[in-house]
Amino acid sequence: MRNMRQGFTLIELLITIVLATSGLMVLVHLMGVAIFADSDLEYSLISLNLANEKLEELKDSDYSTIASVTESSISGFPWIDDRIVTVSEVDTDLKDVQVEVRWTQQGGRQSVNVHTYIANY
Amino acid sequence: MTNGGFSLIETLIVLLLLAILLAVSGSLFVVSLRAWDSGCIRTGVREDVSYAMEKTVRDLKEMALGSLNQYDPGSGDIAHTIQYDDLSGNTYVLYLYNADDATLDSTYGENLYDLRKADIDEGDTPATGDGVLILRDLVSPDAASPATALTVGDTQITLDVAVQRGDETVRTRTKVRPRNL
Repeated sequence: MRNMRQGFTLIELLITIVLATSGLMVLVHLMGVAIFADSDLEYSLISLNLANEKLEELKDSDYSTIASVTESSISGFPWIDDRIVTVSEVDTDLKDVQVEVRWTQQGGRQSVNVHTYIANY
Repeated sequence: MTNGGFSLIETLIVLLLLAILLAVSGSLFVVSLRAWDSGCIRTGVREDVSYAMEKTVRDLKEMALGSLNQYDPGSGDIAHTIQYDDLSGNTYVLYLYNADDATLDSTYGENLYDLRKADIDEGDTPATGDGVLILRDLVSPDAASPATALTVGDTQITLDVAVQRGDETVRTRTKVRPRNL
Protein backbone atom coordinates (compact mmCIF):
# COMPACT_ATOMS: atom_id res chain seq x y z
CA MET A 1 0.00 0.00 0.00
CA ARG A 2 2.69 2.46 0.93
CA ASN A 3 5.89 3.31 -0.84
CA MET A 4 8.44 6.01 -0.11
CA ARG A 5 7.04 8.47 -2.63
CA GLN A 6 3.61 8.54 -1.08
CA GLY A 7 2.25 11.46 1.05
CA PHE A 8 -0.59 10.97 3.52
CA THR A 9 -3.41 8.66 2.65
CA LEU A 10 -6.94 9.93 2.79
CA ILE A 11 -7.71 7.88 5.86
CA GLU A 12 -4.69 9.32 7.71
CA LEU A 13 -5.78 12.80 6.90
CA LEU A 14 -9.33 12.14 8.03
CA ILE A 15 -8.08 10.74 11.34
CA THR A 16 -5.93 13.82 11.80
CA ILE A 17 -8.89 16.10 11.18
CA VAL A 18 -11.10 14.18 13.61
CA LEU A 19 -8.41 14.30 16.30
CA ALA A 20 -7.73 17.98 15.78
CA THR A 21 -11.44 18.78 15.88
CA SER A 22 -12.11 16.81 19.02
CA GLY A 23 -9.20 18.65 20.61
CA LEU A 24 -10.80 21.96 19.68
CA MET A 25 -14.17 20.78 20.98
CA VAL A 26 -12.64 19.96 24.35
CA LEU A 27 -11.21 23.49 24.55
CA VAL A 28 -14.54 25.05 23.64
CA HIS A 29 -16.34 22.84 26.16
CA LEU A 30 -13.89 23.83 28.89
CA MET A 31 -14.60 27.49 28.25
CA GLY A 32 -18.30 26.75 28.66
CA VAL A 33 -17.69 24.95 31.95
CA ALA A 34 -15.68 27.89 33.28
CA ILE A 35 -18.39 30.35 32.30
CA PHE A 36 -21.19 28.34 33.93
CA ALA A 37 -19.18 27.82 37.10
CA ASP A 38 -18.84 31.57 37.24
CA SER A 39 -22.51 32.42 36.76
CA ASP A 40 -23.22 29.87 39.47
CA LEU A 41 -21.27 32.03 41.92
CA GLU A 42 -23.14 35.13 40.82
CA TYR A 43 -26.53 33.51 41.45
CA SER A 44 -25.32 32.28 44.84
CA LEU A 45 -24.25 35.77 45.84
CA ILE A 46 -27.55 37.35 44.81
CA SER A 47 -29.55 34.58 46.50
CA LEU A 48 -27.57 35.00 49.68
CA ASN A 49 -28.38 38.71 49.67
CA LEU A 50 -32.07 37.92 49.14
CA ALA A 51 -32.02 35.38 51.96
CA ASN A 52 -30.43 37.95 54.26
CA GLU A 53 -33.01 40.48 53.13
CA LYS A 54 -35.78 38.20 54.40
CA LEU A 55 -33.95 37.57 57.65
CA GLU A 56 -33.59 41.31 58.26
CA GLU A 57 -37.28 41.81 57.48
CA LEU A 58 -38.14 39.19 60.08
CA LYS A 59 -35.83 40.72 62.66
CA ASP A 60 -37.58 44.01 62.01
CA SER A 61 -41.07 42.57 62.48
CA ASP A 62 -43.09 41.81 65.57
CA TYR A 63 -42.03 38.56 67.26
CA SER A 64 -45.53 37.08 67.22
CA THR A 65 -45.88 37.57 63.46
CA ILE A 66 -42.76 35.56 62.60
CA ALA A 67 -44.06 32.37 60.99
CA SER A 68 -43.28 29.94 58.21
CA VAL A 69 -44.12 31.31 54.79
CA THR A 70 -43.21 30.60 51.16
CA GLU A 71 -42.89 33.26 48.50
CA SER A 72 -43.26 31.64 45.10
CA SER A 73 -41.43 34.48 43.34
CA ILE A 74 -39.40 37.59 44.12
CA SER A 75 -40.10 40.64 42.01
CA GLY A 76 -37.10 41.78 40.00
CA PHE A 77 -35.47 38.36 40.16
CA PRO A 78 -37.41 36.16 37.73
CA TRP A 79 -34.88 33.31 37.85
CA ILE A 80 -35.57 32.69 41.55
CA ASP A 81 -37.94 29.76 42.09
CA ASP A 82 -39.01 30.54 45.63
CA ARG A 83 -38.00 31.83 49.06
CA ILE A 84 -38.99 29.62 51.96
CA VAL A 85 -39.10 30.71 55.60
CA THR A 86 -39.22 27.88 58.12
CA VAL A 87 -39.91 28.88 61.71
CA SER A 88 -40.11 26.71 64.80
CA GLU A 89 -40.42 27.92 68.38
CA VAL A 90 -37.62 25.98 70.06
CA ASP A 91 -38.15 27.51 73.50
CA THR A 92 -40.33 30.11 75.17
CA ASP A 93 -39.68 33.40 73.38
CA LEU A 94 -37.08 31.86 71.09
CA LYS A 95 -37.69 31.05 67.46
CA ASP A 96 -35.46 29.10 65.13
CA VAL A 97 -35.65 30.79 61.73
CA GLN A 98 -34.34 29.43 58.44
CA VAL A 99 -34.55 31.16 55.09
CA GLU A 100 -33.90 29.16 51.95
CA VAL A 101 -33.71 30.72 48.48
CA ARG A 102 -33.96 28.27 45.59
CA TRP A 103 -33.35 28.58 41.88
CA THR A 104 -32.88 26.25 38.93
CA GLN A 105 -29.73 26.35 36.89
CA GLN A 106 -28.14 23.92 34.44
CA GLY A 107 -31.11 21.65 34.98
CA GLY A 108 -30.48 21.33 38.71
CA ARG A 109 -32.07 22.84 41.79
CA GLN A 110 -29.68 25.13 43.64
CA SER A 111 -30.23 26.82 46.96
CA VAL A 112 -28.70 28.92 49.69
CA ASN A 113 -29.72 28.73 53.29
CA VAL A 114 -29.36 31.15 56.19
CA HIS A 115 -30.24 30.25 59.73
CA THR A 116 -30.64 32.23 62.93
CA TYR A 117 -32.51 32.47 66.21
CA ILE A 118 -34.79 35.36 67.02
CA ALA A 119 -35.62 36.11 70.66
CA ASN A 120 -38.65 37.93 71.99
CA TYR A 121 -37.03 40.62 74.10
CA MET B 1 -2.87 5.14 -7.14
CA THR B 2 -0.31 3.43 -4.95
CA ASN B 3 2.54 5.76 -5.76
CA GLY B 4 0.44 8.87 -6.24
CA GLY B 5 -0.41 11.54 -3.67
CA PHE B 6 -4.12 12.45 -3.44
CA SER B 7 -6.36 12.37 -6.39
CA LEU B 8 -8.20 15.61 -7.08
CA ILE B 9 -11.48 14.19 -5.80
CA GLU B 10 -9.84 13.06 -2.54
CA THR B 11 -8.37 16.47 -1.99
CA LEU B 12 -11.70 18.12 -2.65
CA ILE B 13 -13.50 15.87 -0.18
CA VAL B 14 -10.88 16.52 2.47
CA LEU B 15 -11.02 20.26 1.91
CA LEU B 16 -14.80 20.19 2.09
CA LEU B 17 -14.84 18.23 5.33
CA LEU B 18 -12.15 20.45 6.78
CA ALA B 19 -14.09 23.56 5.83
CA ILE B 20 -17.28 22.27 7.43
CA LEU B 21 -15.54 21.27 10.65
CA LEU B 22 -13.65 24.56 10.82
CA ALA B 23 -16.84 26.52 10.25
CA VAL B 24 -18.64 24.67 13.04
CA SER B 25 -15.85 24.85 15.57
CA GLY B 26 -15.04 28.40 14.51
CA SER B 27 -18.55 29.65 15.17
CA LEU B 28 -18.64 27.74 18.46
CA PHE B 29 -15.36 29.39 19.34
CA VAL B 30 -16.67 32.87 18.56
CA VAL B 31 -19.77 32.25 20.66
CA SER B 32 -17.69 31.03 23.58
CA LEU B 33 -15.32 33.97 23.25
CA ARG B 34 -18.26 36.34 23.62
CA ALA B 35 -19.57 34.40 26.57
CA TRP B 36 -16.08 34.43 28.03
CA ASP B 37 -15.86 38.22 27.73
CA SER B 38 -19.21 38.74 29.38
CA GLY B 39 -18.20 36.21 32.04
CA CYS B 40 -15.03 38.18 32.80
CA ILE B 41 -16.98 41.42 33.20
CA ARG B 42 -19.60 39.77 35.41
CA THR B 43 -16.90 38.24 37.60
CA GLY B 44 -15.42 41.68 38.19
CA VAL B 45 -18.83 43.14 38.95
CA ARG B 46 -19.69 40.28 41.28
CA GLU B 47 -16.52 40.78 43.31
CA ASP B 48 -17.12 44.52 43.55
CA VAL B 49 -20.76 44.08 44.52
CA SER B 50 -19.89 41.38 47.04
CA TYR B 51 -17.39 43.67 48.76
CA ALA B 52 -19.68 46.70 48.68
CA MET B 53 -22.68 44.84 50.10
CA GLU B 54 -20.70 43.18 52.87
CA LYS B 55 -19.03 46.42 53.92
CA THR B 56 -22.16 48.54 53.72
CA VAL B 57 -24.36 46.05 55.56
CA ARG B 58 -21.80 45.78 58.38
CA ASP B 59 -21.49 49.54 58.68
CA LEU B 60 -25.24 50.01 58.75
CA LYS B 61 -25.85 47.23 61.28
CA GLU B 62 -23.48 48.89 63.73
CA MET B 63 -24.88 52.41 63.54
CA ALA B 64 -25.66 54.43 66.66
CA LEU B 65 -29.15 54.51 68.11
CA GLY B 66 -31.47 56.95 66.34
CA SER B 67 -28.90 58.27 63.89
CA LEU B 68 -30.46 56.85 60.73
CA ASN B 69 -31.56 59.47 58.23
CA GLN B 70 -31.29 60.70 54.71
CA TYR B 71 -28.63 63.29 53.96
CA ASP B 72 -29.87 66.86 54.14
CA PRO B 73 -27.37 69.56 53.08
CA GLY B 74 -29.90 72.24 54.13
CA SER B 75 -32.34 72.15 51.26
CA GLY B 76 -34.23 69.03 52.32
CA ASP B 77 -33.59 65.30 52.34
CA ILE B 78 -31.91 63.87 49.26
CA ALA B 79 -33.33 60.64 47.89
CA HIS B 80 -31.03 57.61 47.75
CA THR B 81 -28.68 58.85 50.43
CA ILE B 82 -28.11 57.28 53.85
CA GLN B 83 -26.77 59.23 56.79
CA TYR B 84 -25.82 57.58 60.07
CA ASP B 85 -23.44 57.84 63.02
CA ASP B 86 -21.12 55.05 64.02
CA LEU B 87 -20.85 54.06 67.68
CA SER B 88 -18.09 56.65 68.24
CA GLY B 89 -20.43 59.41 67.10
CA ASN B 90 -18.79 60.04 63.72
CA THR B 91 -21.27 60.93 61.00
CA TYR B 92 -21.15 59.25 57.61
CA VAL B 93 -23.14 59.74 54.43
CA LEU B 94 -23.57 57.10 51.74
CA TYR B 95 -24.49 58.80 48.50
CA LEU B 96 -24.47 58.40 44.72
CA TYR B 97 -22.07 60.61 42.80
CA ASN B 98 -21.37 61.39 39.17
CA ALA B 99 -19.12 64.37 38.39
CA ASP B 100 -21.30 65.24 35.37
CA ASP B 101 -24.37 65.56 37.58
CA ALA B 102 -23.61 69.09 38.74
CA THR B 103 -25.87 69.26 41.77
CA LEU B 104 -26.38 66.70 44.50
CA ASP B 105 -30.16 66.50 44.65
CA SER B 106 -32.95 63.96 44.31
CA THR B 107 -32.77 63.80 40.52
CA TYR B 108 -30.23 61.51 38.91
CA GLY B 109 -29.94 62.47 35.24
CA GLU B 110 -26.71 60.66 34.32
CA ASN B 111 -26.51 56.99 33.42
CA LEU B 112 -24.13 55.63 36.04
CA TYR B 113 -23.17 56.72 39.54
CA ASP B 114 -20.54 55.84 42.13
CA LEU B 115 -21.54 54.85 45.63
CA ARG B 116 -19.38 56.88 48.00
CA LYS B 117 -19.06 57.08 51.75
CA ALA B 118 -18.29 60.54 53.07
CA ASP B 119 -16.83 61.00 56.54
CA ILE B 120 -18.53 64.25 57.53
CA ASP B 121 -16.41 64.80 60.65
CA GLU B 122 -13.27 64.57 58.49
CA GLY B 123 -14.65 67.45 56.42
CA ASP B 124 -15.86 65.38 53.45
CA THR B 125 -18.48 67.15 51.33
CA PRO B 126 -20.81 64.87 49.36
CA ALA B 127 -21.55 67.66 46.86
CA THR B 128 -17.95 67.56 45.62
CA GLY B 129 -17.63 63.79 45.56
CA ASP B 130 -15.47 63.45 48.70
CA GLY B 131 -15.15 60.21 50.55
CA VAL B 132 -14.28 56.60 49.94
CA LEU B 133 -15.42 54.86 46.76
CA ILE B 134 -17.51 51.84 47.75
CA LEU B 135 -18.88 50.70 44.38
CA ARG B 136 -18.82 52.15 40.88
CA ASP B 137 -21.07 51.88 37.81
CA LEU B 138 -24.41 51.86 39.63
CA VAL B 139 -27.39 52.39 37.37
CA SER B 140 -29.13 55.73 37.99
CA PRO B 141 -32.13 55.53 40.36
CA ASP B 142 -34.11 57.37 37.67
CA ALA B 143 -33.42 54.67 35.06
CA ALA B 144 -35.98 52.11 33.97
CA SER B 145 -35.77 48.82 35.88
CA PRO B 146 -33.39 47.54 37.03
CA ALA B 147 -32.43 50.76 38.78
CA THR B 148 -30.45 51.38 41.94
CA ALA B 149 -32.48 52.33 45.00
CA LEU B 150 -31.22 53.15 48.49
CA THR B 151 -34.30 53.41 50.66
CA VAL B 152 -34.32 54.54 54.29
CA GLY B 153 -37.26 53.46 56.41
CA ASP B 154 -37.89 53.98 60.12
CA THR B 155 -36.06 50.88 61.22
CA GLN B 156 -34.97 49.33 57.96
CA ILE B 157 -32.76 50.17 55.00
CA THR B 158 -33.17 48.61 51.55
CA LEU B 159 -30.12 48.37 49.33
CA ASP B 160 -31.27 47.62 45.78
CA VAL B 161 -28.14 47.67 43.70
CA ALA B 162 -27.88 47.43 39.91
CA VAL B 163 -24.40 47.62 38.43
CA GLN B 164 -23.89 48.04 34.71
CA ARG B 165 -20.55 47.52 33.02
CA GLY B 166 -20.40 47.17 29.24
CA ASP B 167 -23.50 45.26 28.19
CA GLU B 168 -23.70 43.42 31.48
CA THR B 169 -26.03 44.31 34.34
CA VAL B 170 -25.91 42.61 37.71
CA ARG B 171 -28.64 43.31 40.22
CA THR B 172 -28.92 42.30 43.82
CA ARG B 173 -30.91 43.48 46.79
CA THR B 174 -30.86 43.16 50.53
CA LYS B 175 -32.22 44.85 53.62
CA VAL B 176 -30.59 45.87 56.87
CA ARG B 177 -32.13 46.37 60.25
CA PRO B 178 -29.62 48.32 62.33
CA ARG B 179 -29.04 46.39 65.53
CA ASN B 180 -29.27 49.35 67.90
CA LEU B 181 -32.58 50.80 66.77
